[in-house]
Amino acid sequence: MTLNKGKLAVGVIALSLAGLAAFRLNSYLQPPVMTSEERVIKVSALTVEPAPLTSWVFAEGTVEAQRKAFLDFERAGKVVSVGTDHNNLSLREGSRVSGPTSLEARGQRLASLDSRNTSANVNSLSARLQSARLRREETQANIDRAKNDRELARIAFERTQKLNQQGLISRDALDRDRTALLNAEAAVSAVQSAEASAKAEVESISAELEGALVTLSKDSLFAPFDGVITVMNLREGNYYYPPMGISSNSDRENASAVVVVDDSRYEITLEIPEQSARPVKEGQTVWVSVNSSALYQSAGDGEPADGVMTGRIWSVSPAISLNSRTRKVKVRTDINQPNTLQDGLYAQVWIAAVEKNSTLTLPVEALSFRDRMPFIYVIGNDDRVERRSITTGLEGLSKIEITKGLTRGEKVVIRGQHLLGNDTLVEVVNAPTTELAVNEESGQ
Amino acid sequence: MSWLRPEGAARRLFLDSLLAKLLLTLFILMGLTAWNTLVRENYPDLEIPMALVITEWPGASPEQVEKEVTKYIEEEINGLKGLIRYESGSYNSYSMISVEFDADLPVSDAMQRLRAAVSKAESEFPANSGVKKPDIEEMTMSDTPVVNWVLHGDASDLLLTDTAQWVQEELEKIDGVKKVDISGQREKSLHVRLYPEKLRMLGLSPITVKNLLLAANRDMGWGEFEGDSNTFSLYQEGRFDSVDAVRQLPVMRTGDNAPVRLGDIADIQLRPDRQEMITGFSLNGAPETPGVILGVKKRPGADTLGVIAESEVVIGELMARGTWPVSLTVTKVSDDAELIETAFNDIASSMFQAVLIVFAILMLLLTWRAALIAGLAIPVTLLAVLGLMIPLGYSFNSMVMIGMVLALGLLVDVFILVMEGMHEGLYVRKESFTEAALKTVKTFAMPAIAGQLTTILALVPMMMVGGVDGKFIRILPITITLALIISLIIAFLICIPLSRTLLVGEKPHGELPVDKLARITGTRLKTFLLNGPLSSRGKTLGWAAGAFSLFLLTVMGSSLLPSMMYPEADDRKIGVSIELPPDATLEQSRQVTHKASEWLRAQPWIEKFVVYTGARSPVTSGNLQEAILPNENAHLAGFTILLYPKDQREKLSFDYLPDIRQGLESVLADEPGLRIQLTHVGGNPDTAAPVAIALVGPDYQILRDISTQVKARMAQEPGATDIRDNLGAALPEARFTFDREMLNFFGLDESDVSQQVRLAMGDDEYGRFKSAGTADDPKLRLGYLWPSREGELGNPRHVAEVSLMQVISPKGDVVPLETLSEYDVDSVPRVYIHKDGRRAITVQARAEGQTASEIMLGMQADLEQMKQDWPAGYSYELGGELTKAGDSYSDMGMAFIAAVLLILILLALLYNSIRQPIIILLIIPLGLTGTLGGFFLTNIPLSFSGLIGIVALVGIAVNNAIVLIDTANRHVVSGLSVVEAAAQASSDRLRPIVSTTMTTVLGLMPLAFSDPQWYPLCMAIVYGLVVSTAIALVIIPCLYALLVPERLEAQTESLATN
Repeated sequence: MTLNKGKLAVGVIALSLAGLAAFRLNSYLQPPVMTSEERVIKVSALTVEPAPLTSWVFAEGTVEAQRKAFLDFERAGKVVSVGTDHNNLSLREGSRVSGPTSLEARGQRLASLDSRNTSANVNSLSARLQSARLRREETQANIDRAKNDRELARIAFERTQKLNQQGLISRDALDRDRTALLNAEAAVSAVQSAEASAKAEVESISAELEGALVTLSKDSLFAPFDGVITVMNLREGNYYYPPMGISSNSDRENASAVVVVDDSRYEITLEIPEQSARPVKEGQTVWVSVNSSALYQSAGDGEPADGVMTGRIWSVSPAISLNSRTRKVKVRTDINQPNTLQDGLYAQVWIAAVEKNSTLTLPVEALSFRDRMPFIYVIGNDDRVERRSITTGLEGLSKIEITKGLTRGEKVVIRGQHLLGNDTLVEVVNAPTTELAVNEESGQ
Repeated sequence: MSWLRPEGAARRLFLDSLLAKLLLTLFILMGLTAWNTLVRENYPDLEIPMALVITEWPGASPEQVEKEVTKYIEEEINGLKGLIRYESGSYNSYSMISVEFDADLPVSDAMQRLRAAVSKAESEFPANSGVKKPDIEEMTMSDTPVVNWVLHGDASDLLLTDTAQWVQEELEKIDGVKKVDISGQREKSLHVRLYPEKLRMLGLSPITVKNLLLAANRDMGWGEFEGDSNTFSLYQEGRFDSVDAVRQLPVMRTGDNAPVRLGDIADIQLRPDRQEMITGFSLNGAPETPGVILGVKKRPGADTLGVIAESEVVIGELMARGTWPVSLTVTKVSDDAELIETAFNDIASSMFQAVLIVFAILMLLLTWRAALIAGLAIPVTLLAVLGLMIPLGYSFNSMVMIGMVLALGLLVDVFILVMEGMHEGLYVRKESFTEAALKTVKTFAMPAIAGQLTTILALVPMMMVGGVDGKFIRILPITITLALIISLIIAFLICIPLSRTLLVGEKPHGELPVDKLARITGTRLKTFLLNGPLSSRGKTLGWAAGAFSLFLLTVMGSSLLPSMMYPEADDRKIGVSIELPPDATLEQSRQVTHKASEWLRAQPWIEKFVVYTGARSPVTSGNLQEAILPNENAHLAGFTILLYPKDQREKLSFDYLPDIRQGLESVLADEPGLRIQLTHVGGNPDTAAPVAIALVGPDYQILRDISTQVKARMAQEPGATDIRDNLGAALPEARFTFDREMLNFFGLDESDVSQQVRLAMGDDEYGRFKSAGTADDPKLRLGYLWPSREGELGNPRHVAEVSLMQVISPKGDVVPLETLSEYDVDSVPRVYIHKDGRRAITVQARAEGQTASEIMLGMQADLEQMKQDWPAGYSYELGGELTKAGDSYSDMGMAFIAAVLLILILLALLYNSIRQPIIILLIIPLGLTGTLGGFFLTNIPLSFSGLIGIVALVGIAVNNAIVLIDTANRHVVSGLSVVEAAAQASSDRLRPIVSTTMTTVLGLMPLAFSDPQWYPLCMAIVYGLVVSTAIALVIIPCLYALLVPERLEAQTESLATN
């Protein structure tokens, strides 16, 4: 009985082991269950819609006032007086000065040189003129007298002639009176030439005086237009020498006695490398600022932010500079805007060189590169991506125009591309709606 | 055996207790000393000859570094003796080469060779280009910090940085600390940032400024004045020691001779560097606290616990000092000591339990006195083994304890044998103590030694396994061997002499219940054998054939078994690595880590974690393969998570991995382009990715395509998670080419332009700024101040700034870069990776659910097919666990065969016969039937530790057979027929065999269930032993009956009667 029990137990154990073995065998032989679902890559995507795009040319240059006067005395001399402002303080850098008006032919006097020599000259000339004039008056009186004498002589002669014809008087008396008349006539011409000489002398002296007076007036500087003094190199009592050998504006800036600028309008001369300068044309809009962050903000907002001035391209040189292989481009700021520039600042200029109102664009981070060729991932309707080669066009600040390979309304992966391959299944998360499109452009 | 007489040497050895007492004292003292002094570790910290060669070349591109630095070093390294593998990464500004030598090569030797090779390569570096001297850093297997301190508090960045550096310096003074890594701090430098527009206005080249700065910032000895009565030295004191001095440095003169000073054209500040990494931590679900992390890395072989304890002391002292800033606190966020203690205590308690179980079994098998002696002998043996670890140079680690647990079942056999012998002599044969003792020695010495010797022989080849794994595992056979040898010494030289006190005087008692049971079962077994398997030759043959066909069946079945190198083990530390799109900013990474840390801190099973933003967690980058990859970058983020101890959470650590992944994926669902990767070190000494397929070829673009293809294929493989390649995402790069005519026109040269641009874009170091004392001098960094950064450090942020990038010609002209050059945009790798000197990408993954080998082998056919379409010169190599497992498995296979051969030789010598050893050896396949069948039935994957179990099993199982055959031989000698002798032997030896099996099997149980890591190892022995015992008792008699010819009976001598 025990044996049977034992056999039974052994049998049961063997059977259960065999069963377990069969079960295991079955499970081992089963191909592994494909539990792994296809991995879904989370990406950010953007639906492409036409948007405006601006391509900028960036340049830098020194801000200069459009009107700028470098004022200098023409001769060396001692500075005797410097003009004053409305507060009766001596003029200095930053003082505002007024130019000529319809009432006043000359602007505000800025400074004068020591003019004592010139004025002494003027005085002596005036005195001489005076005496010359007196002399002339004297000769004129002599002419009258001579003419009176001649009249007397002529009357005497005519009477004598009549008497002679009547024979009343002798021929001698007639000759005597004739001579007296001829003498009187000669005296008149003599006095007349003396008068002409006196007149000439008066004219000469007054011309000389005129000259002396001009010199005297040049010893003062006057404001040529309304503006602000940027340089005041004069000091009362100092001796002044006119600058020599000035070739550049910056030299002149340093050497001039007074520099007055018109700070309502500025001009910036840019040297733009030939290649970038190509799209730059006269009349294009520019933004000028010394603060590049403000420029970026403006580009984002589409309108100039604080600290950014607008302007236009004034001129584009048709030639390339031999020295620097750049094209000279001049920019002038528009008037009637808050002034944030100053003469002499180094400012950044953004030229809206090419503007498109409506074009397909993508943020630059959407582009991947392979063998230096750009491509993108476009999400299809089945949430699978297609790798697509594209051709790019205009480059904006953060966006780039896609000229080939993309149509309106397509969804393009803009983040997470590094995990994708052709046909990868994706899930769009964090889909940036339009804030990316707003990011830049429309920089009118 | 003349010496075995009471009056001979035997008296001293076996009868007098003096030697025994001395030995006992010696062993206990040795053990206690070792217990107190040995370095305690979880896993042995092996000195593996591995190193990183790091060469800096500031400003060089990855391509340049690859071709002009990495290549030369690789060429030299390539031929080194003992080299196993080398990989390299060439980055912007530096090159990193990881080199691994044969694990058995002495470290100093390997390093010397490496140094020689590297210095040879140095001569090939481009001259005068700024390549720095290569730095060789020795690596440990797992190069992660042993303790992490966080310095935090409400203080300025500068104070935080200064304090962090101070703490770092103090910590690095500790003996055994290799280095202290600071993460999350902003180093302090003197930043000289030039205003680009001022340079342009002045027409001043930044290179001029740089040269002036370099020239001015120099100290120099000018020799000595030697007077008649005195000497003094002359010294140029040029180095800057105040910021103002730097500001006052004249750099040029304007037209009117006015000096332009550095302060006029640059912003100069002593300030923290740019924030490149943000770190913080969270304890017990508290909100994340930002702080600077100081990771203490120990030297290979140093005492982890000691280093940690000492670092605690140092920190305590520092904080107690008067100069410590009160606003700052230091908190310990992770501590390997805790992990080591836990793991150590876990195993120690399983060992303790095993000892108790064995003791309980002893109480059953022996009288209580005998059991007490045997029981006490066990701890003494273990102490002695531990004592021997000191001269062997090993630490007290888990492997040693595992070895002890494995040995426990074996060594206790000897004690049982001896105690039973004594008991029998004293009480059954009623002999005197002297007689009994000598008889016991005479009877059992040889079989005991033979038995243990076979086990040792089985283990010897295991010691020969090479490689890192071999070195790691070697501790096991060494421990077991020592334990067995010592158990023999203790059994005969200590237990016998000392048993006099306990055993003599024991009251005679009747048959123990166990003996009765054994007798009855033995009789039944004999009856069963004689009536069943041994009743006829045919039946015997049938049983034997049945057993072997069962073996074949299990072998076939086991080929279906999955295989993995190391089974998963519980590990409180989990590394998380999150990779954002390659162009992500630190701010974006911060958002991601913020979301992730909110989720993590809400998890009740997470005790604490450290957050890294801008860097990987050191846990995920601790191994040699990862070390050469980018680990610090704005787009990288990571966590080091520490779970609560095992008993305070519901699941095993690796079971939380899917939870973590899903949780993170759900909170980060709205973040595009993320890649999350988890690292769980577990019991694997190597933390490299288990699935690794290397793709080799000359062009990274094509390799990347192939990699995409392979990754897509791998994604279809179930179980493959965290699929990635080590090349990472490509970076867009604008590649400039010069218009040389233009350069020439402006009188510039390439190096001038590139230096200027580099200076503008970089933040490079040019000398140091003198500070008081011996603290590290702050670096002097020169760069540009970009308006778009609004005063902060950094590179240009706006397109316009790059467009307007200009260089200054020697004449002072300002030339736009775009006039001088043109550019194309392309994608390039962040790092150029080489594997064994060739360009390669490795596709990596973790294996979950399926083993790494299965995943790779599953893909092989498809890979072959794909390869057809690849251009010539491109190929793939399966790596990771597969090759490593392959190597280690074949090594183990060799070890196994060698073990069998050694045992065969030993037995052949002992028995002077070849048949009997063969019978004995045939138990090995029978034992394997149990292991493989057990694995098959309980679905345990084949693993390296399972194989160790199998090799260990050989030694144990063979013992049973030896005892059986020996007894059978004796019976034959005594006149029984072969068949009867076989049956009788089986019946006789039932009790000892079963008791050995029981002690071993039950002793292993606590360990088996303590951690999944040891489960395969223990179960291999358990299954094998149980089945081999059952089979040995039935099949060995059959084999004996079949193979031992009747007529040879007389010649066959019993081993015992020799």
